[in-house]
Amino acid sequence: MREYKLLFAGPMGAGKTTAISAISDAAPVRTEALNSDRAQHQKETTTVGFDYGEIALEGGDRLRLYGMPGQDRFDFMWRVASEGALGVVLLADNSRPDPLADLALYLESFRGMAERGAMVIGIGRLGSGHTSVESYTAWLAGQGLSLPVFTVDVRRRDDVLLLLDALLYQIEAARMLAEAPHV
Amino acid sequence: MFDEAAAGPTPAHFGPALDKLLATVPALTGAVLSRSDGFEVLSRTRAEVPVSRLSALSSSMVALSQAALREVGMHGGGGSVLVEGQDGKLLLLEVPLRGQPMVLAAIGGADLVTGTLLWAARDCVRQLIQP
Repeated sequence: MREYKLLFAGPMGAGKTTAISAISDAAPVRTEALNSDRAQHQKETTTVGFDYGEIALEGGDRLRLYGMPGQDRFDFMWRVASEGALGVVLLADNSRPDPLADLALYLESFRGMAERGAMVIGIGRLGSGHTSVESYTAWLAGQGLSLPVFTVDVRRRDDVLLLLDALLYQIEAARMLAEAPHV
Repeated sequence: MFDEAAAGPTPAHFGPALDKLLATVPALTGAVLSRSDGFEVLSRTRAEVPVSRLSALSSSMVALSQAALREVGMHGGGGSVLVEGQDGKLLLLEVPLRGQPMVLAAIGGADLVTGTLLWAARDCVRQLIQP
């Protein structure tokens, strides 16, 4: 049996906990605390440890899903969880004033995975903001990155599974490229 | 950062409670009180302590320990986490304040007796909850 460790990262309120809840086979492990930083986000609770969910794949393989805390004072958790992680789903909240600036911090923190193609971007609440999908793609290109970008509603299981499918495809393609004989 | 506008002013009895803890246990390096989502509220230290980082770590560790207990069917607050290393101890205690749960972190050297640390820190939590 093979196990694949994947991360969900992104700003506070982007929907990481909701995304893992939408796809995990069993109720996820959650580490929520009362949110006292209402200036940052109005939601009632926030993740301070990590969320954890699992998906069983055909053939006995398993995806292990870790949702990271969004606030950067928990960046130690990002580093701890990155150990052994194959890839990361980066969720954006397009309703935020500057969603691209929000993403920059996470892109930098998970730069290693981004550079080897083990990252996909999911844009939530697209219609609630003014940043287009093309702007995200162009912004990534400006960072020297070419990564899949999707619009998603993380409450919908199929949307989140699409992100994981794309991420696993990216990881596999990068692996095959790395193993291909050079000509 | 402590956002008083969002969380209200720090209650007056918090400071004396931390002062008493350090006075009772001279081997303590410091005590840090944080909100359960990782923001520093108040600290008393005798040496250099990275207070804001410790606040975030404390909230994560307590939340993870609670999640671990839930997974094995144990529920209820008022828990603690004790981390021991070659150079000292770090004790984290839940402070179940109504409306704003908090975490108390107490840091001590290797010579500090664990029982003394637990007793004094739990007494501090009682004072924080019931001034």
